[in-house]
Amino acid sequence: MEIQKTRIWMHRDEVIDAVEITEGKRRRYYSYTYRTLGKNGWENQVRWDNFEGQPHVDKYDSNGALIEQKTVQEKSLEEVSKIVAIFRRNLVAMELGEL
Amino acid sequence: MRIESKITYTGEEKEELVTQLKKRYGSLTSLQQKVAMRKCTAPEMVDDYMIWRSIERKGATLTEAHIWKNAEMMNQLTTRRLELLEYVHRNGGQSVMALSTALKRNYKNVYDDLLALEKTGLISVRTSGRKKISIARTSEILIRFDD
Repeated sequence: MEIQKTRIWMHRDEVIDAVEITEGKRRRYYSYTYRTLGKNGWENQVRWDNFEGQPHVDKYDSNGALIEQKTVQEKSLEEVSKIVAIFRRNLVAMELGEL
Repeated sequence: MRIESKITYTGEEKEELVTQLKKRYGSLTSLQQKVAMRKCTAPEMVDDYMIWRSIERKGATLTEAHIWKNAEMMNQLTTRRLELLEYVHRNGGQSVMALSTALKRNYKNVYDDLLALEKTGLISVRTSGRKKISIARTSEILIRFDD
C-alpha cells in the first residue's frame, strides 16, 4: 500500500492538494483539491475524488460549504493539473461535469 | 520548469501522524462514522480517514511531495535559508534558540527564515512545551527543465 501526498503550487496563493493511495498498480483512492489562500487560510474551491468508488467533482463556496456535486470520469493528477493551470480561479464558475 | 521536494515518512513519523489523528478524531471508527455522515462536506476528513486506514496496513509507505510549477519559489530560498534547512535536516528537531546558537545567527532572523521555509512546506514547526521545534520536510530539492 503506497500513500502519496502531493502539494502542487500553481501560484503562491493557489495549490492543488493531492492524495493518492495505490496497491500494486491499482489506484484505490485519489483526491485532488484546488485550494486558494483566503482570509481564513487555505479554502477549498473544487475537488475531484473517487471516495467509495464514485468518481465525482465537488464545488465549494467561499465559506467552505459544498454547493455542487457532479459525477465525472476518473481523473489523474496530470489531467487535473492541466485543467487548473488553464482555468485557475475561473473553475469555480464553470460547468465542471463537462471537463 | 518544475521544482520538486520529496520526503518519505519513517516509521516514527508515521506513528506521529497516527498520534495526531487520534488526538483530532479519537479513533479510526469514530472518524469513519463522521465521514459516513458528512462525506464531501468535510473533504479533509475523508482524506484523513483514507490515509489513516491505509497507513495501518502492514508495509504501507507514505511519501509527501511539494511541486512548484514556476521559479517563484526560488525567491524563498536564500543562501541562509538553505543552510538552515540543511542544518535542520541533518540534526533533527531543533528550537529557534538552538538553531541561532549553532549557526551563530541573530534569533529574529532565524525565526523569520523558519517562518518563510514553513510557508513553502519545506519544514514544519511543532510546539513542545514553550519551544517551537523545526523539522525538515524534505531531504532533496530537484529542479527539472523538461516538464
